[in-house]
Amino acid sequence: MLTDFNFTIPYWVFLIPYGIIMLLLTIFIVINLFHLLHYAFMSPVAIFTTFLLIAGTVFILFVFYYFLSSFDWQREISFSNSNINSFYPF
Amino acid sequence: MWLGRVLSTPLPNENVVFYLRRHWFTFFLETVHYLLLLAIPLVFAWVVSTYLPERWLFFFDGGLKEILIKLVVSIYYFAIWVFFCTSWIDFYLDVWLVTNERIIAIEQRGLFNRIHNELHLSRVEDVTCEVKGVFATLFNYGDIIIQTAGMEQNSIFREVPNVYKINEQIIKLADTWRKNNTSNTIRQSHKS
Repeated sequence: MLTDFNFTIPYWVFLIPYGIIMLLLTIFIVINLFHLLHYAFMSPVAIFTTFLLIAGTVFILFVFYYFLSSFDWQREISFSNSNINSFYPF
Repeated sequence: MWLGRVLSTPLPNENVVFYLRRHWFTFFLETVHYLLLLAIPLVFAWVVSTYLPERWLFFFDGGLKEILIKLVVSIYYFAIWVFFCTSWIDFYLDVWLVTNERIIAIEQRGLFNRIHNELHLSRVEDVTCEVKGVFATLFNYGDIIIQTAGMEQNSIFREVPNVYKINEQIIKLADTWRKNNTSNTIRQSHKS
């Protein structure tokens, strides 16, 4: 027998898996940086590449933050069995 | 030359003859692939917004659909950046050094695989080169395979420029090394 349920999920919940994936990718960038600093002999190319890698990553993350911060992450999706049509994520 | 990390302990009278990396065109080809991957969502967005504007407005209405699309697209672009950086590191950290005494091969394969192979010229048995493909033929780059005596692993220089010239030079270096050392051994045996 189904019991009545009615709950809501805020939009920011989607930021959790997003954050995990972005964190994993950032770890890859850190490992790349480690390789560059540890194994590459410090030539001008290596120094420039290191700078580019850090600057590029910071720039990309800043752009994403800029675009994603414009959303209202407190908005909610509601789930309810009394009115199944209340689930309108799309 | 910046050889501190590669040739940290040079042998007496050791001189660097070749300092090799993969041909720049191989990295250029990889960059073109990444640029195509970058362009795919942009082209798709342009096609939908131009030819299907009602669909575009349906998806980009400021709601959850738009949020999810932007999250996925940002992950996609960040992943391309990360893999592009990894490709560059892979390219940049592949180094082959030929000296008048030995051959040093350092290869970075992905993020967690690094190979450092050192081979003395006395162990060189046979050197072959392989130029495969249109671009390799046009830009004169390819693989050099150095076969060794005994159970040692063959050394492979991947996609290096001027393959034929380097191939020839390595054979000459190995021959010169053998001649010099054979004559030294004969001299020493005469003295004793």
